Amino acid sequence: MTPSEIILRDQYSQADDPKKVLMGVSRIVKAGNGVLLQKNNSVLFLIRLGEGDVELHLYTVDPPQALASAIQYFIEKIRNSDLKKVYFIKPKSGEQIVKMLKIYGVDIQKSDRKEYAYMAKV
Amino acid sequence: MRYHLESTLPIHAFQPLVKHSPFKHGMTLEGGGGIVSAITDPISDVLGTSGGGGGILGALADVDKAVGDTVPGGWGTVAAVAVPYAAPYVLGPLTAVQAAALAAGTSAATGAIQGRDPEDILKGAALSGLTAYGLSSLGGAGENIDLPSETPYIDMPDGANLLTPDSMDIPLKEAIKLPTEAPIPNFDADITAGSQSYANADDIRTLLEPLPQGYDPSTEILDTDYSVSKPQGIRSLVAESEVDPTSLGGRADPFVGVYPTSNVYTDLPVGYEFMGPNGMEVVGPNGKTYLQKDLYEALSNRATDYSVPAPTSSDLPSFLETVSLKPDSTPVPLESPTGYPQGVQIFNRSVPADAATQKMVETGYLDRLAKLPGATYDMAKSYVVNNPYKSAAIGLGALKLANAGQQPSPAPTGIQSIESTGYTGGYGSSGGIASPYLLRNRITASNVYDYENPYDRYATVNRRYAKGGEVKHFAFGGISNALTRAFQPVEKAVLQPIGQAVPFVREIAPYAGILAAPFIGSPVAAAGIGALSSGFGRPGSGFDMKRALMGGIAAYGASTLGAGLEAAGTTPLDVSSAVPNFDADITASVQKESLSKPFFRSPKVVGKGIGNLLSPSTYDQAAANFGTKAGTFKTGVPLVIGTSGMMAIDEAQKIREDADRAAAASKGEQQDMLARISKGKKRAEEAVRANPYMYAMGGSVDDELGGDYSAMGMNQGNLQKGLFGMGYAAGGTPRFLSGGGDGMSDSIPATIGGTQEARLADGEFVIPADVVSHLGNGSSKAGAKQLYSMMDRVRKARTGNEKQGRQIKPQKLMPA
Repeated sequence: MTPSEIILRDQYSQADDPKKVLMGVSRIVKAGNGVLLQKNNSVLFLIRLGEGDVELHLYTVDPPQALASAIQYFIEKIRNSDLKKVYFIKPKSGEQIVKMLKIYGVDIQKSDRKEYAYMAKV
Repeated sequence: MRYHLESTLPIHAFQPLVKHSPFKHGMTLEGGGGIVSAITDPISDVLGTSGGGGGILGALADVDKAVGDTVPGGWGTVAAVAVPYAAPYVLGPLTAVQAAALAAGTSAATGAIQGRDPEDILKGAALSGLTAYGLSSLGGAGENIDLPSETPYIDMPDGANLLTPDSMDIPLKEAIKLPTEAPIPNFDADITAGSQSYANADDIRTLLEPLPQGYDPSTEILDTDYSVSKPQGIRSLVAESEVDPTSLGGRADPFVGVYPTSNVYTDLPVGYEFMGPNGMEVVGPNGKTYLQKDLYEALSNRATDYSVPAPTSSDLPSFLETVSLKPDSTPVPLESPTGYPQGVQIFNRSVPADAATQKMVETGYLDRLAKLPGATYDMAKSYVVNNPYKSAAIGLGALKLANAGQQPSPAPTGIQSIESTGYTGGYGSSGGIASPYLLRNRITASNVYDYENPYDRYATVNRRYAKGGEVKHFAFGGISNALTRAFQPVEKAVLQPIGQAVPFVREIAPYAGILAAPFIGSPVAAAGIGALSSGFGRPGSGFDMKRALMGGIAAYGASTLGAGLEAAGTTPLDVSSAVPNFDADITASVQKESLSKPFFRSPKVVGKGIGNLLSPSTYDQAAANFGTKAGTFKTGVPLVIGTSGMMAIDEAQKIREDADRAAAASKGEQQDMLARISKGKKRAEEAVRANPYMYAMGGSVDDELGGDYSAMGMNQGNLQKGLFGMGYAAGGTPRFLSGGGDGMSDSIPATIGGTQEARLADGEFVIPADVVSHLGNGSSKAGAKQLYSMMDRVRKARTGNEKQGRQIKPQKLMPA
C-alpha cells in the first residue's frame, strides 16, 4: 500500500474527513516540515516542532506482528537521528500505542507541551 | 411487536452490522490473548484440546454413551432424522417457520458434523427447512389466532428498533448521485515529491533545521487529541480554497450527498435554522423549504383523501427544527405550532448511529462509497460509523399522523396507488422519511402485503418492502458481525497461523465452530464462531465468504439444536405443559438470550436430552417435547431468515412462493409419511412379537433403538435389515445363542443372506464367515473343514464318538 492509502484507511476510522488529513500531510511534507517513514503498511509521520522536537503520528493498517516490526523500525530510525524529543497526541488507540512503545523500551512520559498528551526523549 | 419475516427483521436481533473493529491497530498484542485467545480458547475448550477435559470430544463421548454405540452416524444422525419427522407433531406449539428452523438447523448441523460439503449442507438445510415448513404448516391445532399458520412472523421485545427499508432512504436515494468517475488526486506523488524516498527516509535530520519564519507547528495538528483541548486542527486550517472541486470530480466532499439539508432546505427562509453538515446553521434567503413544500402537498392530498378543507398557507407550520445528535435518543414532538392541522404531529427524530449505519447498508450507499476510487469497504464503513450526525440528519422532520394506529372512517376512496402517482413521500417532510415508529404502528401482519392500501399511503410502504427485497441485508446481519470481523486482515493473519500450527485444529477447523455450536449458549455467538472457522477453512485456502455464510448458518442452527437438547435434558417429558402463548414465550426466550448465562452448555445435559428424546416408550412425547419444551428453539427463527436470506440473494420473493408450494405439495407427502411411520412402527412391533427371541438377541439393533427407528420413520427395509439382515449366519460378531427350545430344537429362526431361511438352536454358537475363512487361511471351505474336524475331535474326546448324539424327546423320558 502507498502511504496515502495507509493514511486514508487508517483515518477513515478515526477522523471525520480522512482526505483532509491526507491533504494536510501532503502539504506539510511538501513544505519541508514533515517526513514520512514507511514500514510494512504502517506510516510514521514526523512534523517539525523546532529545537530537535518532532510530533509523531502513526498510521497503520498492519496486523499485529507487522505493526510491531514497523514500530521497531521507526524507533530505530528515530534513535539513530539527532532528534531530542518526540511528542504525540492521544488518539483513540493511544493507550495501546503507548503500551507497545513501552514494550520496546521507549520511556513514555507526560508531555511538557500542553498541546500533546505524551512525549519521549530520544 | 410482530413483524413479517419476509419483509423485515428486527435489526437488534442481531449484532450491529458495522462496528469499530476492536482489533484496530492490532492492539491485542499486549497482555497476551487478544483475538488469539478470544477465538482459540473457546474453540479449544469446546473441542476438548485445551487440556481441561470435556469439550466437544468429551461431550460426544457422553452423548455416545447416552445414545448407544449402535446408532449409525452417531447422535447427529439421530437428531437429524428425529427433527424433520417430529415436525408434524409440533404443529401446535411451533409455527411452521419455527419448525422449519428446527429442521434446517438440525440438518445443517448434522451435515457439518458428518463432514459434508458446505454447499450440500446449505442445500440440505434449506430443503429440510422447506419440508418441515410444509409439514408443520399443515394441521390446524394450535395455530396462532392472529395470523394464518403459513405466515411467518417474529416477535420483538418492546423497545427494540425496527428499521425498514423505506423509513429513511428516499432522501438518500434522491440526494446521492455520486459520479462514478471521480479521480482522487495523486497524494502519493505529492508526498513522495516532498519526502524524496519515504520508504527509506534518512532525511529525518531535516527536521532538526530551524522552523521557517512564521510557521506555527501547533496549527498543524492532524488528528484530534482526545486528551487535550486544542483548536480544530487541520480541519480548520485546510481552507476550502485548497480543495479543488475539479480534481474531485465536482465533489468538494465526496459525501455531500449525505447532507439532506442541502437538498431539503435549499430554500430555507432567511433566519431559519437548519441542520447543516457541520451542525446547526442559519441560512438561506430563498423562501419555502422543501419540508414545507412537501407538507403542503401532503396536506393537499390529505384534504382530497379525507374530505377536509384544503390547506392554506397559514396551515403550514412555522417552527424551528432541531435535531438531537445523541445516539439512541428518542423522538419527541416539537412544540405545537400555531394553526397546526389537527391530527398531525411533527416529530423531531434522530437516528441511532448503528441504525443509521444499517440504513447506509440497506440503501447501497455504503457500497457506493466503497467503490469510490481509492476507497475500500472498510473506509466506507468507518466513515459512516464515525459520522452519525450525517446519518442523523436523514431523519429530519419526520411527520406522522397523531392517530396513526387507527384508520379513518369512512375509509377514503379513489386514492391512486403509490406507483401510479409516483408519490412516495411520507406525510409531508422531505419524502419518504416517515419514521419507523410510524411504520411499526401501521404495518401489521394483515396489511404488510397491501402496499397499495390507502391507509398505508403515508407510511411509504411500497412493493419492495412488501416483498421483502431487503431480506438479504438482514439475513447477512445475523452473522455479519463475525463476517465483518473476518474481513479484517488482523484476524485473518492471526487465525490462519493457528490452523497451521496445530494439526488437529487444522483438520477440524472448517467445522470446529459448527461442532462446538450445539454447546454454545448463544446462537449468535455460535454463528460467529461457525462463520469464522468455516470461512477460513484450512490454511492456504484463504477466506471463503460463501463457506463462512454457510458455516455461520449451520452453527446458528446447531446452537439452537443444542438449546433444544439442553431443554430436553433438563425438562421432564411432558407435552401437556406446552406453552401456547407464543408471544410471551418467544419474547421470554429472546430476552433470556440477552441475559447472562453460561457461554457453553453442559455436555452432560445435552447428552441427557438426547437420551430423553430417544426414550422409546415416549417417543411421541419426545417428538413433541423436542419442539415444545425447547422454548429456546424459538430463537431459531432467524436461522430461517438466514437460510431464506441466502436464497434471497438471487430472488427474495421466491422464498415465500417456494414455501407455499412446498406447503401445498407436502400434504400428500405428509400423509404418506405418517402412514409409513405408523406402518413401520406396527411392523416393528409385530416383528418383535412374532420373534421375541430373535429380537432379544437380534443383530446390532436393540429394542430401544428399534423402536426409535420406527418412530423416526425409517423405512421398514432398514428395520428389517437391522433385525434380520445382520442375522447370525452373516453376523458380524460371533454369538452364543440363547433362546427358546433346547440344544437341538433348531427353534431360533434366522436367514442366510437375508433370504434363505435357517434354523438355529439354543446353545449353538455362530462363527462369523470371516473367522471361518481365517481358519482356512482365506479359504472358507478349508476353514469349515477345520471346524468340522474340531467338532469331531471334541465329540470323540467327550463321548468317544465323532457323531452328534441322537435327538431325543425329553418329555417321553421324564417322569409323569
